[in-house]
Amino acid sequence: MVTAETQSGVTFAGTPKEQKLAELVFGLVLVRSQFLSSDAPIKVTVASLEAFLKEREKGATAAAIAKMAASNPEIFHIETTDGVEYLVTTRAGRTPVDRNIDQSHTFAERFMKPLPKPEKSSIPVRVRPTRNPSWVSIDSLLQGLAGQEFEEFEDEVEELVAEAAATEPGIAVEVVEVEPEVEAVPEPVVARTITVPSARMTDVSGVDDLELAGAISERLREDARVATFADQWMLEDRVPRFGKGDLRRLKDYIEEQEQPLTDDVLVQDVLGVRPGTPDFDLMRFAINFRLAHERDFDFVGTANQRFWSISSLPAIGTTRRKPNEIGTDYKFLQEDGAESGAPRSIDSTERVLTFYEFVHGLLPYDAEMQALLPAPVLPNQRSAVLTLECPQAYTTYLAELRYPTPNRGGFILGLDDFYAENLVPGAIIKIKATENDGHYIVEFATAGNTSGRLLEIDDRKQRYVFRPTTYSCAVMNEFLLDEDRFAGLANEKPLDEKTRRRPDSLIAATFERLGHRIEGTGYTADFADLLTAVNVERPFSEAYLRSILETDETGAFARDPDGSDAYTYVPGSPA
Amino acid sequence: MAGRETPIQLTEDDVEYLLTVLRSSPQPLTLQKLIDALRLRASDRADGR
Repeated sequence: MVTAETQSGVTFAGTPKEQKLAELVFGLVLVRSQFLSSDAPIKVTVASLEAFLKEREKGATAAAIAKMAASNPEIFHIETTDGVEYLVTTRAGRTPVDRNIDQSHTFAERFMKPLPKPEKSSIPVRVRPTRNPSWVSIDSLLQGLAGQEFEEFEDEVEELVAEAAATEPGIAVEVVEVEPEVEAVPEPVVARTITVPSARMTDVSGVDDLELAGAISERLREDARVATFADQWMLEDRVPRFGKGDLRRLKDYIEEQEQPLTDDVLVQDVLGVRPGTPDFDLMRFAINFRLAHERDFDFVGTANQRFWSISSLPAIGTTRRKPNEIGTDYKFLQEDGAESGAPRSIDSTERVLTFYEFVHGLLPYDAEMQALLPAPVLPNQRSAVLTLECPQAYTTYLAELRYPTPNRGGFILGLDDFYAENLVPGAIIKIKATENDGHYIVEFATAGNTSGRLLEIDDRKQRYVFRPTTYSCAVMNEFLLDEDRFAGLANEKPLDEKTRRRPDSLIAATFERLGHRIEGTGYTADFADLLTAVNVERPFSEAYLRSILETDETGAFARDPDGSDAYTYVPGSPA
Repeated sequence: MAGRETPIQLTEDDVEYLLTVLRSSPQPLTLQKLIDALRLRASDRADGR
């Protein structure tokens, strides 16, 4: 509901009749202008007012309205437009003021109509110093001075002679013309030309890349201005640095993932730099270079697959034996003297799994594996994490290559699951290199399903047992530990550490386990059986075993003259 | 390629040149790139450029 505001506070002047008329007219105007603002002009034709009021108010003519407006000039105003008279007022009861705003000097107006460019600059032109035309050449200057100075001097000389003659009559004054002292003109310095030998540059035309690479590495590695990691080089001061917060985040992320992570993953997941962006390679290099100088991080990667680890991560691989003990078991690889090719010089290698390798999920880092796998990237690198992909199992395994030390042999850990899920001791596997020196393909030869009672170790009882096993991998029968050939191992306990540490003691115990007695008190065994059986306890290569059997100084072991490739053992000897 | 009696050693000039090459690169360079840079400079000098 709309309620008309009652206008109050407006007083009208004039005679009582005019006041009444004014109130009536003002009331009409308010009714007509309910929705206007208080100061908006309200125009009503005098004729329409007259026509409306004629019936209600006697004597309300146009003249009376004009007279009433004249009596109230502050409230009403009569204006004539095109011959029509209008009564003008506002809801506030005031004569409307002209609301036209002067816009002739607005900012917008100035922009639209800029002032014309002044014909003359308001800044007075600075007077530039000019050279007197007579100073243009040195000759013109000298012409003005010709003869002037010398005449003056001649006058001075004459005055001095006269003065001297007057003061010292005894002294004859002789005027001697003195040769004008010629000022020594310094000889122009001839610019010395120093001939220096052109920048000495090594002639590299007759040098092969390998030698040149060695020379560059040797020289730049000593230079503190240069940062290097693996095969990459950069100026040290251009390598981004990491604060403590960044290092903490990197460490926490590796710990959270519970496995070593590559630089690619760290740059993407922790530093948030996407592959393909201009900074990606730079940040990856920064990760490798900077973390290599941090004590909390260990580089465990290869040149192409750069893994980083921390000390608190769980070890990769078996928990049956400590890595140091396994390294000691493989010490014979160091003494083997087998020549290995250069790292990554072969494409693949095939091998037969021994019981020791199967149980511990291992592979020896022997001469062939050294030729297949990469060398350490850093001088003090102890291990490298490799990825071994088995397409037959649709699985990629994380393995750790432990590089050899002077006292321990090298080996590869972490294949427990792969072996347990797919293979048995005696299985034939092939390891193939890829373009990535940290990634390898591992395959096994397959065969139809075969069942047999094969040797296992009962972890609870800590005894060797034969259990029925079905397998579908191809095996080399010589290395297959089935019950028919190795029945003597059943229910045997693993040898104590003291016995197994000494190779001759271990071989003697293996002779007894195999149990092929000969007349008298001795034992005999085929070399193949012996090799398979000794590898139950600890790793022996064929060459290593044969060397012990052949070079035994105690005389306990000897070649069996009755067998094609057999040896005998006579107990009671020091072995 | 004929074998050299003494191993090659880079001069200060070579090192300064390699540093200039490294300085001009916003990304890390491989060893092969540095070898190529040395060879390219040698061939440029030989051509009189």
